[in-house]
Amino acid sequence: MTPAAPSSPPPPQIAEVTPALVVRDLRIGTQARELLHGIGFEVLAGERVGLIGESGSGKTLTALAVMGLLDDNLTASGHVHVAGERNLLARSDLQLVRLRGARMSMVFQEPMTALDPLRRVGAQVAEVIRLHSAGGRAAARLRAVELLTEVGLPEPALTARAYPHQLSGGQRQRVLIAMALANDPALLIADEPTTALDVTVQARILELLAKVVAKRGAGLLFITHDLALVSQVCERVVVLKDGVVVEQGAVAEVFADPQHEYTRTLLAASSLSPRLSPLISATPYSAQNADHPPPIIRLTDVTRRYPRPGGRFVDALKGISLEIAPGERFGLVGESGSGKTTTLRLLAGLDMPTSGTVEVAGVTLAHTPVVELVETTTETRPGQRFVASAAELARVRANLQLVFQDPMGSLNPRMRVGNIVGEPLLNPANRADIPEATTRRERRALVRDILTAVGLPNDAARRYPHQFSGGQRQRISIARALVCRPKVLVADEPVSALDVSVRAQVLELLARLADEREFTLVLVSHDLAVVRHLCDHIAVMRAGEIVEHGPTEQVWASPKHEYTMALKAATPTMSKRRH
Amino acid sequence: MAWLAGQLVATLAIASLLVFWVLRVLPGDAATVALGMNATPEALATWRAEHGTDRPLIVQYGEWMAGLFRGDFGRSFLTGNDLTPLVLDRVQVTLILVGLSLALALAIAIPLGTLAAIKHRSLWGVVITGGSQLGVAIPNFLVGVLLVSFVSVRLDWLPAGGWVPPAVSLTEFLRHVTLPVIALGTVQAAIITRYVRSAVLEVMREDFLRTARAGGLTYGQALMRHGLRNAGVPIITVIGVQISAMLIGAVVVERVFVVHGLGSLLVDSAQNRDLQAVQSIVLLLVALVVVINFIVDLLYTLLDPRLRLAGSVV
Repeated sequence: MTPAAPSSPPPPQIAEVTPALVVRDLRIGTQARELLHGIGFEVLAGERVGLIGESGSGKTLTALAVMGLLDDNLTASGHVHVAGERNLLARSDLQLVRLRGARMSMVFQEPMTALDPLRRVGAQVAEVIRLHSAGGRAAARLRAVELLTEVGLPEPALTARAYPHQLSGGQRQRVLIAMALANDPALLIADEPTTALDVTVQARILELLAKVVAKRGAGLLFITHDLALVSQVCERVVVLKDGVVVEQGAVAEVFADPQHEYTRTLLAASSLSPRLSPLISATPYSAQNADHPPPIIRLTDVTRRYPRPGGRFVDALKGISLEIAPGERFGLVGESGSGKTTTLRLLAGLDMPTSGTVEVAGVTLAHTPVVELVETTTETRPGQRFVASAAELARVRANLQLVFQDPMGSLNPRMRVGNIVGEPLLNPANRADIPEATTRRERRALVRDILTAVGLPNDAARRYPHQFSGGQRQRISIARALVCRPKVLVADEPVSALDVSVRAQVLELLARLADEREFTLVLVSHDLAVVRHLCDHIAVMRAGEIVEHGPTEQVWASPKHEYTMALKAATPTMSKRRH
Repeated sequence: MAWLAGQLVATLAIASLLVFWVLRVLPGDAATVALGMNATPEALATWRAEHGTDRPLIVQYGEWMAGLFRGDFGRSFLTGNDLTPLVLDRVQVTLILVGLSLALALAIAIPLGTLAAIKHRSLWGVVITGGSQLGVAIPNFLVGVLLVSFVSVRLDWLPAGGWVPPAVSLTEFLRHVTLPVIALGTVQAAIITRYVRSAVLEVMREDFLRTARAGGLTYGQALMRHGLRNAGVPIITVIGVQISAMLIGAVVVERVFVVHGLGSLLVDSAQNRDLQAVQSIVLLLVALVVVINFIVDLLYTLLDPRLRLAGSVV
């Protein structure tokens, strides 16, 4: 896998034998405790190695130690050699500065904040070039535009003059890749480079990364928690757990025949096959009712138009209609900007449509009748708008609860978990249908029950959110949403911030609770695999429209719309390999 | 831009109405103050007719505004002199004082605040932060009094007060201006240091500094090239607010150092019920503050492309 591109100068003979990166007995720790316990691995020139593990396993620490960018309160010992250089850990920061961005470079996770917002992106790429080469300003500018061309940005000369905020997340990540490649490094480290991006964008960025390192014969250290990505991008894999390498080897071998227990768990959790567990029955209880019950959620010709300065506007929803039956598990799939979040806000009564009808749990939230003006013209125009009263909104909110994406940001850090979960019960509207929630003691019992139901320890109610892991926090959010027994639970990307092994557990919990407590589940996600895993019906959204909907397996097996096909193709799976 | 300019004009119009109205509502008749308690009603009426205070308020306001548009501040009720040269002379003094104090404050605050942020875990950071806390707590007239009693009276290094315009003698100007500038500037330096420190601390945590370092910049280079400009937006906000505070602070410092600036003119005029002078000076101060805020708003858009018209580049 080291095809030297004919255009680049032939790599010196030594590059064939010198590994891009050698890590030996790397230990990182604070004064109080050691976080990384002597790990070792190699990345050969032209080789793509995946470093996988869950949050807290030490992946990013390893990368930062190689780059010499560890925080001041962390110390590293051991051996790190990049492209045959002497041990980097034994060298001063001033010596490392010459290597960073030249012999080794790094692409970070969060493209939205990784670029200086006040400087044009071309200038930022040019800066890295000029730091390590003698050429003048004009030459660096030209080279920057060349690099922006290579990473596939449209109209590179114009893009070079853009500021970061004028580019999308995927485009910014391309700029960062261009910066990292500016001086043809021997080693490129990519730390979760696509976590913040949409799946279709992710697929293209991964393709780009593989291409540019192959062209340069550089080594790639690809850090991720997603095994499917590793199987697509990398040749070898290093599995990290709690600061120790538990397994490493060729991707095909490790994934086919994992030796370590932890790798097996990770693998099992990663392949979100539909109906992974027998717990996930996906039988809507409505099926027991012979006569068709009325839908619990009905959107009819809903549009939402947001005004923008200068008399312009954005159509977030362009007339969508959908029905969700009681007990259904409904998945809403789409990428950023597709209108998922707007739909969700309308359902929760947090926003009102520009036109159309929104009905939730028997309450009409908004309704715009269409009046036909027969006598003069055949034109139809919207009639008088109807909007639900505050009392009706309160009733809807008692019946429709939300679980948000960020389990930390959505829990008040200064409140005990018991109070967080019990808070919805303090609102009389929410407990109108729960007779056993009148006294404080009764409410506390309800909170205890629901915390047990979501699988949290007995003492959870007395603790604070920061004392829980990400997955547990999401369980707290679910408990809070379910405590007042809603008819509908809307989960907005409930697992996208979680590690893979935890992801499966939380999805399983949602499915089990939906069956046990007989609520309708609306799952909003960008990840077709997650939705397929859990839902019986899905709707695919794009640019404010529902492009396809139907029973999950039907949509998955034979997608009709090209966008659904693109989404399916871009969804990383363990079986797909890119070469 | 047009929006900002409109805001500026509207603010000034409202301020002028307010100043005019408040001064008319306050007790203390200008004619009585000018002629004394024992003046006959006829004398008072004559005085009012002479100075035009017997006409309808709307006419008085219109005349005042029309004068200001021509660059005419009107005539003093007290002396009958044209206020314009006096006010312009005094405003020069105050602006020089405030400008130099600001320069001193920034020269101290930006390096010290940055240092305090970089070394926030070490002794230096604690010393600077503690020192600036002390500076914030001391009012600037107290600094002035202390400076006079030590530097001027005890050591006799610099004059205790007075003012020599720079055009007359540059060395004398500097000798006279040093102490008031220190009194006004150091307290501001202490306040701005704290804001610089927190703005730089904020920026130090940004992802793009790490990106810059990964590209081969040293920590210091990354901070200078990418950090300070990003920290600039909040710092400029504070500087804008502090200039306004300094204009007010100058009133007191001018008193301590017997400098005849706008502040002392305002205080004298207010004591003498010289309505015409007071309203013109107050409006001038308001105008200065509003214009400074306008400049700050313009600087934002220069500094931060996100605040410019979105989507105009690509």
